[in-house]
Amino acid sequence: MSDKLELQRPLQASAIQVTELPKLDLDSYIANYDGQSRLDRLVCIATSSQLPVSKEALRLALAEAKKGKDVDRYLEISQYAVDNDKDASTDVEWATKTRELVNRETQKLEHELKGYKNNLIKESIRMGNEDLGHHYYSIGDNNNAYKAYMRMREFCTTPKHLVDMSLRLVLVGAAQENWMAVQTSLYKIQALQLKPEDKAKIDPVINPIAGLANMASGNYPTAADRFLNADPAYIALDTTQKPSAGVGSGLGISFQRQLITPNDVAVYGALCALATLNREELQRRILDNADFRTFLELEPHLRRVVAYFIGGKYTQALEILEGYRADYLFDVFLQKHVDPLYATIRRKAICAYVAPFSRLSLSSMATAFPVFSPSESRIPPTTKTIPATDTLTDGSIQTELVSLISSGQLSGFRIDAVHGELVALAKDDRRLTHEKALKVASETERALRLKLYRVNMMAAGFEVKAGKASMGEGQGSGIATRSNRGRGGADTGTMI
Amino acid sequence: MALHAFPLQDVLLEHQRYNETRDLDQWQDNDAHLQRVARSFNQLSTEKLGAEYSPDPLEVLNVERETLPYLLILSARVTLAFKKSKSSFPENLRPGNTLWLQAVAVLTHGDPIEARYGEDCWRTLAKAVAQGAVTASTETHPPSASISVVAAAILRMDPSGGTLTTSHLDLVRACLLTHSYAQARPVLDCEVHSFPSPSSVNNELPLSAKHHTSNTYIAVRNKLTEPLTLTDILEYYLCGAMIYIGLDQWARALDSLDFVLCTPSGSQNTAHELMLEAYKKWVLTSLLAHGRPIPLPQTAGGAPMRTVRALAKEYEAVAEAFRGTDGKKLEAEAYEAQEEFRNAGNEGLVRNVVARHRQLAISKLANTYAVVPFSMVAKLLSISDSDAAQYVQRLVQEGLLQASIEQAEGQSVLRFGEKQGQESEQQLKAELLRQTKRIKELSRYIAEADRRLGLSRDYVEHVSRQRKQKTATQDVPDQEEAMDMSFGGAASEEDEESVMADVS
Repeated sequence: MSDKLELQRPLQASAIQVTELPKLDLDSYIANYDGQSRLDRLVCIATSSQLPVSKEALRLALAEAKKGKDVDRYLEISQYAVDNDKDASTDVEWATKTRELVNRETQKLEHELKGYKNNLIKESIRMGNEDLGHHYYSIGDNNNAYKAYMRMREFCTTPKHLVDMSLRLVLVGAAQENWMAVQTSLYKIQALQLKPEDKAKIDPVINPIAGLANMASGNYPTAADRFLNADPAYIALDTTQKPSAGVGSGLGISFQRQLITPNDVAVYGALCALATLNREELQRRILDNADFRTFLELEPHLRRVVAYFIGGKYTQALEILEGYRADYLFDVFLQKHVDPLYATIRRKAICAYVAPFSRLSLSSMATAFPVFSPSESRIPPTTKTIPATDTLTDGSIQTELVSLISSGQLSGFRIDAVHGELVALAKDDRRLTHEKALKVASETERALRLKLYRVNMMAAGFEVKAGKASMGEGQGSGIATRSNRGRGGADTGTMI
Repeated sequence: MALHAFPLQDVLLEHQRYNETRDLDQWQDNDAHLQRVARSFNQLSTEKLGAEYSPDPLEVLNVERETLPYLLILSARVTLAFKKSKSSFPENLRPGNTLWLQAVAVLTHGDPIEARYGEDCWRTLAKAVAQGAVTASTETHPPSASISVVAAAILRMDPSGGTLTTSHLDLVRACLLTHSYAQARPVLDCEVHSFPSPSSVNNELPLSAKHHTSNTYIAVRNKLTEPLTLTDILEYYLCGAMIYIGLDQWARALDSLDFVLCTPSGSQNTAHELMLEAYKKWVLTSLLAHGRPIPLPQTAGGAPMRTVRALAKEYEAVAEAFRGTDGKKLEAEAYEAQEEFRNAGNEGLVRNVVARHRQLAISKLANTYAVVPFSMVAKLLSISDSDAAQYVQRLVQEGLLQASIEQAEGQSVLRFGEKQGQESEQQLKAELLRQTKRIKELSRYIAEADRRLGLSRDYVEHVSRQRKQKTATQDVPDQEEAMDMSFGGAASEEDEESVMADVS
């Protein structure tokens, strides 16, 4: 029996470890989520720190896992709990019992499906596969779940069926973190011709999920675009109704609870937008956008951040963001993206901050952009940095500025390393244009000249031929002898 | 004129008379007359033509107006002088002596149209002068003086200097041997727009006619040049590049080397030996010209370049080290392969590359900083503060670094300034106009070369083959399209090359 309980992949502590106390209240936070998402989020919090909140999350996760049928998952979590806490223990009896139950269930469903296949009734086969998919999904076997749902395709008879199937694929894809598959499924749903009642239910779901998929793949600009176009109907939309209840019925999945809550839309959307849009776009697409503001009201501090950012109060904006860093690091989807997003926002803020100045001191910049947390120093410099001097106390801001300037993001500025100042360059666009024109012209000239040469050589019948006066074809020693003529021209006009 | 002793007295007299009424626009008449003169001279043996007469015809003849007889007689004398002196350089032809002075006179003041009828005489004289520069220069007559004459002679025969001749080759060889680089520039700076080829079909315009390009009268059949071999052409460009390198003209040197690398290759990956030599210099020169490794010219063939690159690993290692910021690593690479560099004659270039890297390290600071303390420069170069100050001072003085040295906050600091001596807008505009003119000229040359290519036998065969295919497939490329397709081959090689460039 012991081999039965062996772990495939033991749960490991997350690479990102939070040391600061988060603002979130675990109970009310986790109450927003259901199903696998709830468990995933608990596990994420549990493995991301040694704080009391993680211990609590671990306890909740164990209880949550026991409610389900995913035995492997339970064993992983309990193993992690045992490793980290002497008092914890694994409920082997429950695990064995549930596993038997699950196996019986699997066999039963497979058997049923076989029966349906023999009867060749399309609808039955579709539902058989769907049931099997649900079952696999509930026991955490996402691969088989995905396969089962995929098998439904050829038995779908209405667009609605296709939608149901695709949405299931989205959910499983997200659980597998296979974001390409998620996006493909979403595209397929959008391409379908649907009844208006159905469309009204499905459309609001698309943008938040597409945003999530893009963000998780690191494609922040598209993610921002998707989130900002989210329909506020998503907040109140009830899609939990059984899909089989006929025309206009629900989707059977509550994405707001099982994947991404309206609060998440606000957080992810605001962060991606801050990192990728300029101030004018932020104003237009966030503050002047009634739709997204509805989401943003759920996370009022982010509305303040955006407002501060647009108003040029970068210090305050960054301060608030830093305050929520720990919270965001506990988010299962956001965790990996907090640092790059924060770094981009900070860089953008610095560039926007210095733009109007012709000269400003580095110490004032260091005050305006204090280095908040140790993780800030983990940001890899974008390009090779020139070693900073130790003559300056605020070396860190200087290093940051050096990397900004050399990566071209702050190209109009130079550092005065002696007086500790950032100096704007006088720009001469006219001259730059002239110089560019000259450069292009000389490149053209070079290309033309070489073409001319080649044409001439061809026309005159000159080309390198394999043989004595050449090399190649693997003949390393076949180096040619130069023509016998002396270099001084000592010969009087002999022909070759 | 009293030339009783000279056998061709009447021809000379006739020529003199003719010259008095000569009209350049009547070139048909001129052609007939000059051909007659040349024929009469050719009937006389070299011994008779070059013999001593009294009074000396060369004393009597006017170099500027009676160039053809002058040239023919002088050339016969030079040939005889070479025969007499056997192996050594003829005394009379040494710089400053009679024959030399006469050669210089005709090469710099002779009438170029008459000279065209002198067959190989013009270039033989130029070659003799070039030889004199190499073997018999004295302090009063430095090689540079002789070489200037050779360059002037080339340009006198062909003001565009653009049809490559054996004289071009004589010139660059002599320049390299005597280290008189600057004197080659008037010719080297000319765009070579055509090669004399044995197979090319030239329209049979009389020599004295007004020619659109020099390529139509400078041809092997007129003996104004010998046929050139592929090696000759590559050698000309390689020597040209070496001369530019000697003059620290990195960009021009690179242009010259580009040509060698872009030589078309018949079989897949075959490269010429001189292409390897050129590639080695190209790698180093590109660092000096651009301050960073650059991709190979697109026109270069991918496969031959692969062959060449495989044999020049040391140079690519240097280029790679140059890309980085670590000067020590570059010096190590330079030291590692110093034997190869010395054997290939590239030691000086490598030294230049190392020095340039140091200088660039400081220049690059200007992209990030406005003012830096010297301690920072010293740290960057890992040398002491005072050495750094000295080094930077030298760079500033030589104009290699646009910066000034100041005192601030009790230490010496380096302030990077606006580029000094920047051209004014007018100058920039003038430069742009010059460039435009050059490009227009190039396009004209290309059109001309294209026409020549269109007349070549290979191309005609290609078109006739296409015609046959056309009837078979009904896929009708008309003549114009067929023309474009002849460039298609080069384009596909380019693609391959750009892939290569990415890899490098």
